[in-house]
Amino acid sequence: MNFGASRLLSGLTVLLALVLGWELLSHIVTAKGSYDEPLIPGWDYLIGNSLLRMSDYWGGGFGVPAPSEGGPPTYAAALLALGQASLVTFERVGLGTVFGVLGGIGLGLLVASSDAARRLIAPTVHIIRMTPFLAMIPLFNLWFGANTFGIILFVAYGIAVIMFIGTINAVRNVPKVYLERAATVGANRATIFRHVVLPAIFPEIRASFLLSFGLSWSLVVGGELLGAQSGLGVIVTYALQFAYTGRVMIIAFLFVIYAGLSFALFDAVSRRIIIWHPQVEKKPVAAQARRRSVRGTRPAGGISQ
Amino acid sequence: MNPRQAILSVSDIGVRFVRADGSPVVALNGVSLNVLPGEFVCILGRSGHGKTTLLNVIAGLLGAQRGEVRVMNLPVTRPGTDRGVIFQQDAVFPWMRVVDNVAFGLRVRNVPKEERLRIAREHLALVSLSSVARAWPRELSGGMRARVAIAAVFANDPPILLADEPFGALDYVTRRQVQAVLRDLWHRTGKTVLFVTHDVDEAMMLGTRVIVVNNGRIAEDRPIELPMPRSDDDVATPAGLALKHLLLHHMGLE
Repeated sequence: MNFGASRLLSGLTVLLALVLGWELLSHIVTAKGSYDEPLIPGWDYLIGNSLLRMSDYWGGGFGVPAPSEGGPPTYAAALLALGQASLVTFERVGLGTVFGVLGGIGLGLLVASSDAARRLIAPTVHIIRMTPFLAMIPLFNLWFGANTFGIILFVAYGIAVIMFIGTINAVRNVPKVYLERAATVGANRATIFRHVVLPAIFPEIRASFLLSFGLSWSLVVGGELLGAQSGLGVIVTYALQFAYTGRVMIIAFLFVIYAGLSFALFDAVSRRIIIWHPQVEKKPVAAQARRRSVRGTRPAGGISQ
Repeated sequence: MNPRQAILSVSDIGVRFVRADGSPVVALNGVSLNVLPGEFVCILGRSGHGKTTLLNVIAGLLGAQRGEVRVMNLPVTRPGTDRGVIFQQDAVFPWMRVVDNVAFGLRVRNVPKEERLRIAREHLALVSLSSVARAWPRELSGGMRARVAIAAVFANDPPILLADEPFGALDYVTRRQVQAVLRDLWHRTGKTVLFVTHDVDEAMMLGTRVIVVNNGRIAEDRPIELPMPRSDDDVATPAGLALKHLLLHHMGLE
């Protein structure tokens, strides 16, 4: 059995153990919450009740009647409701992350390249960075409203702070010898910035983005929990009011899946950009591209001095 | 020597550093030097005695508190394309393919793409690296990256070449091979080279002239009158050994 298959097998084993362990726990802990919902709902309850009742949030359309209009709860309505709420949340997390990344990197580069900008911007950002993100939600609510615009801004703000710090550190860590080499061949500041600083900082910026990847999803849920009218966070808010543990868990599962998929997507795409980086070599994606890059030549190890 | 003929003239350079605890360190103290076109000058000395500082001042990467550096009679205030540098650390950009690394200086000077790639490939051929033109630097050995650095600096065609212990991290055999590559290119192009090293054998193998820097001053400055191109046998003659003893003496041995 090769390495990849054995890794997949052990992963599936762990997953199966978790699923079975949860089921076991639900039979041991049978306590119920205030609205007669089990605190640890088993799988039959999660799928037969919690998931099905997600159809409560379906407003009708696509030929699937909404239970609020008198129809029975259906899985079709439940999945449509989850899909609709997911799309709303995707828009917020996606736009917020993009704006946050661009804003944070832009501000970081500005501060790193200009003394005046550093004196103006850096102290403010360092104060903001000490403020807990969640403590700022009410403020964003009051300023911009508990709507899509306000939540996008909130996500962008949180991501921008992280990316700002990451960018400043990355610029500081660019080896001096690269800058000196560029200077000795006559490069001006703009050329050095474009051909040396930007490529040199990319791996570190990518790393800080990957490390804080779950943050976007946390921020969007935080933003939606307080007063939004749509999105996955709203379902959690309602579920919390009626102690629907199962529904909270279903949304939590969704977030795990979404965060994992978006992480994998970004990792795969950004890995291609830093194909040159020594640490990328071991990964299969990089190895394929490497073979392409030296096609028609002998492998590097075989070239003698 | 008539300073007017000099391509590079260093006069009375003084450099001081301040340590973190505030105490001053004199790195260079009244260093003067005239270099004629086509010379291969080895700057020899122990670590921490000012060799690299001197080279950085000449490169324009470091400002001196005192004195002046002139290249072709123009004062040096910052780095310029008249002085190519081979650095002590690996300065090959890992994010550029080998050929783009060699072409980088030409790109900075807006040489058209086809032209600069042609020049880069020619120089890769001169250092026997044609086969890895499209490879990434991480796929190369240290010796091959050193040759990329040599090709890159020669592709820019600077009249003066400054090298700061460029082969210090290489194993003995590789270092000898890369030395030969550099010496051949120097011979072919007739450039003026300043080559910093702490290795007496390396200096005697490469240089037409050797300068010993000791405690921030020039302790010795003399031509190496051994045949060129030079072999181990040429260095192991009575004249060669006498010079080696003298140089080691000025570096502080015995």
